[in-house]
Amino acid sequence: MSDRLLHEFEVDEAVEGFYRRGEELERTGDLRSAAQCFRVVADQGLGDASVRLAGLLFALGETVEAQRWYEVALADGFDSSLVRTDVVVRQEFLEHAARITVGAPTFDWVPSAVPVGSLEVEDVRARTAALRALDQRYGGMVCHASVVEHLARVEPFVVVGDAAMWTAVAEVCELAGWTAFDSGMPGVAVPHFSRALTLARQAENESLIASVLTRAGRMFLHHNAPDDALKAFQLGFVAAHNSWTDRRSLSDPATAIASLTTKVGTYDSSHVRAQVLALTALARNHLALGDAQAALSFAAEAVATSANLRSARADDQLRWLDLEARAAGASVLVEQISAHFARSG
Amino acid sequence: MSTPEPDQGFAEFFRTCLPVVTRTLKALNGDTRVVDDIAQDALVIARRRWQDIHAYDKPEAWVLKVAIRLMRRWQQRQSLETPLVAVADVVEQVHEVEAVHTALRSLSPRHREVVALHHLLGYPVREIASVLLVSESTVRAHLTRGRAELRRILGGSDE
Repeated sequence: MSDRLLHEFEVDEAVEGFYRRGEELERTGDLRSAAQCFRVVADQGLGDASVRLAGLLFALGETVEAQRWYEVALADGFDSSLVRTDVVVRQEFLEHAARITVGAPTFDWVPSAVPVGSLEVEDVRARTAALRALDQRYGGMVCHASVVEHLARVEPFVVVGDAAMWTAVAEVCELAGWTAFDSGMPGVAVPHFSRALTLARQAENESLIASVLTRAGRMFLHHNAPDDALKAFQLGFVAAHNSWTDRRSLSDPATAIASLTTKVGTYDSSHVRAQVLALTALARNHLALGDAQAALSFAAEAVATSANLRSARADDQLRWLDLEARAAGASVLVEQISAHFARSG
Repeated sequence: MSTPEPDQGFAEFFRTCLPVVTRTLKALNGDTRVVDDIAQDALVIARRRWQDIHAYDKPEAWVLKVAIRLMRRWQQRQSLETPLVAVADVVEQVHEVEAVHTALRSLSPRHREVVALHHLLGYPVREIASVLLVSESTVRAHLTRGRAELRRILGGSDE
């Protein structure tokens, strides 16, 4: 009797050791090894290992095995809400993406650390570019940890930075998600992509939103969720369509005008910069088509709307319009823009 | 347990710990005969490990962890959970504590463990997580749901 007891106890204690090691490995980001530990514990039916294993396997894209342990966890009396299945994760991502695409403000997290020292946007971008080059050459598994480290350093600066910093950090989030996907961790990638979207929206960077959604879509497709992939691509297409304002060149004014006209109507009074950018882009594209009158009225509206806006990006757009107006001999338009710069200094 | 006192302080620990473990297991499981056996088995193991565990902040939590696992092993061997509804029917609700225990036993096993450790023994979330080998977030989730369920059951029986 006592021998059997002791044997059982020794087994249980060894199994508890696996549980603790699994926790530690999960904390350090080694999800695959963590899953191996929790698999033993879950098979022994101890604690909530089935819950944790199912969650990890969903994050690792092992949906078939994940589903099996998820059902074990439910049968063992654990709440379904404790496990985030891949379906739920994708659904929440797409809901977030839909809100982002229509421009709703969605700053739904704050960095866990406070900014330390100072950080130049150029430095952030340079390191991101280096890591991206390494990812392309050696693969995401090699780079993911370095990207996450880079992200941890720069992320706190989103609370003090401007649009340029938001875009730079969003690019790091995008790369973190992309390398997580390439490391076989789609569940880890999704929150990175979500944050990339939030920051890109904050910076009103439509083309980055389109890029992130395209990457997420490719990941969903890879993990056998074509319907969700399609939704991500469609939202990405909307963002790409919206990104006409971000362009400097005026290669296709007619299409741009059609796109911008639908877009400009969707902004409410809180999206001043986006509105100014769209109005200025409309003015430039109308001018490119030779319609100086329409260009003037859009430019006037842009200048009026931008009274309290301080944005280098919006100013750049107005400067480009100014150059084009001078070239086209549209003197009233030039005066209009000069008034803006005289006012804002 | 007939060997001469080998372990300093264990006898004293045994006397205070056994009723606590028994009481907790009873709140978790209706079958009292099995509970007595398991509580004693857990203390047999505790005695063999007394060298290690007597220095712990709360050796009692360690014994409970072992006891709860033993009970789980026993339940797995029986390959059925205690028939909860039947137990609730046979227990006479003589006073308030018994009513709480009965209500507790009608919770799902996972909710029951967490609520019992928290409300009968006053264990904090962190300790419950360690005893039951679950994450702290699971403890919190089960505590919230278990409490709500308990409130619903007890509220209903008052009327």
